[in-house]
Amino acid sequence: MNQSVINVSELHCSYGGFEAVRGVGFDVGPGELFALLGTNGAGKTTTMETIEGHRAPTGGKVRVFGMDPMRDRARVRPRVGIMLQHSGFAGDLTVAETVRLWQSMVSRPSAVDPALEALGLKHRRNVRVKQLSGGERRRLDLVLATLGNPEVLFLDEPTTGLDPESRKATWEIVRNLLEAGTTVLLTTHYLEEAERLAHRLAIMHDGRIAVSGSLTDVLATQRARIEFELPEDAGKLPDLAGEIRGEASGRIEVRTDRLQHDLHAVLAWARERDVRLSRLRAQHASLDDVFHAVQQGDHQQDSSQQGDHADIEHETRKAVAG
Amino acid sequence: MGSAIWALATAETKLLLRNKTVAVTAILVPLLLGFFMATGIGGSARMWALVLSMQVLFVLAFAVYFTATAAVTSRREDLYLKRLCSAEPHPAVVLAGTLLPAVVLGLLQATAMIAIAVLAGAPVPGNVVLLIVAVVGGAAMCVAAGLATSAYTATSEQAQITTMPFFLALFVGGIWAVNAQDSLPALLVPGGAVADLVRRSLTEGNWFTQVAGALPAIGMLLVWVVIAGLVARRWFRWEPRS
Repeated sequence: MNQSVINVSELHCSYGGFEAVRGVGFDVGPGELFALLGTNGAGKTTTMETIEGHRAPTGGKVRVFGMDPMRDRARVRPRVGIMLQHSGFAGDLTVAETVRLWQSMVSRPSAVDPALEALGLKHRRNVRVKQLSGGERRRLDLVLATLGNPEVLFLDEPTTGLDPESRKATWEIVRNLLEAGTTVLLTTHYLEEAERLAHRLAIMHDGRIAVSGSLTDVLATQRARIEFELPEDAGKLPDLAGEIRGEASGRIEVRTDRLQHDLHAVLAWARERDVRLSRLRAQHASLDDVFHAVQQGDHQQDSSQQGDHADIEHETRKAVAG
Repeated sequence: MGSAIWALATAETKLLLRNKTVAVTAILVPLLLGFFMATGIGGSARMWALVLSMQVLFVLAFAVYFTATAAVTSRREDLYLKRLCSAEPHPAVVLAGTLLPAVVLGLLQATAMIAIAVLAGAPVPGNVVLLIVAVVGGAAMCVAAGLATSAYTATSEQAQITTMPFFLALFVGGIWAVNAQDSLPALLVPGGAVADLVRRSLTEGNWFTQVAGALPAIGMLLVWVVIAGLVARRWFRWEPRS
């Protein structure tokens, strides 16, 4: 990646005796949205907070704009916006007072009212923050994180607890920021969110990156599936590139890297013999499939090696090419 | 970052005034206590020294020390300090802005107290510099002690208990230092040095002799600022224990 905005290599983070992050590496280029996925406890937030400069890594290197986010805090912070996973407000300040306080703390403030309006909070401007609903607080979080016109935006589970309407509003804002050239690092456990927004993503598991790359790359790590039911006496299936699971008659599942090829072979075979394939389904792997494969630890990529980021990239490309 | 400190301090002042418990403890309690002492006890020079010392210590304890402890603890408890740390200003600026209202409140109230005492018949301080050192140095000590105390205070309710030891140290030291004049051990207790400086500021005499006599108290005040500052630096937390 040329001129990466965020550069993480061999990152290790420990709390006391527990190593929450065990050798994570990735780059995020300018204007790119990189999503970190994983279940709770995978190490996403720790990784995020280390890149934000909230904590020092126990090992490895983190660079933002080529600088150390802790040591060069004064030069990095004015250019980034941070939305923490858990943080609070001064409940006795009103929405407007909170935003105005933030405005006077950033170098490049944007106007208060449009920011509140974009997230549907304008009519709540004179309400004490403690009276806001959870979703409204989360939206106020986003207002504050973006108020300083950041070049890099960190969003740690930005839509957790939001209703579908607010979630869409958040996505819209993130898309607008991306169009304006903002670089975004996002954590989420909504796969749909990553699918809609991310240019590239990584799935973390047990403090490591299990798989990373573009959505296509990541999806290609799991094989596509063809499913159908065979009637009795249908005979032997043709030779396929993929692996055939199931009985000669009954439910058949084909796992394949060459969906089009195998699907064509199956359909041609069926037509030739006038076999009816009921409940036929053919689909590429979904992010959901990859995610579950990672969780169950049967993901084919060996994530126990450290510094395997490049290998994974390589493997995923091979998978795409194959 | 000057504007950031100012904005933080303004917000913090609003929060202080909007929380009734803190507002009453920080503003009304010391004023009332000081007022009753000034109108009820005064008389001899020695009694006036006690009245003024205690007034200054009330202000330092309630308006500065307790307010600082409660403010920082409750902002941390609310995860608000963590949010402020994710913003642009340096954490030191965040702390300065958060603590500034307590210090300003303390200085204003100390001035008001001394004015009340003088109107009630107390001698006009002969050495104003020593009085200023007592109030400003005491405020510095109390802010640092407030930070240190908040390090072992989980909730703002707990602050009412965790602040007790230092409260006692302030008042015991103060009464001791005024009663046993020129007693060095009394200066070792946090309130002792402040009271000693207040008492000396009320005396008449050569300015330089007065300041020279006050050097042990000034030194001890500094030592307490440093000790509290080091404790705060070592154990202060920006986030609640998880």
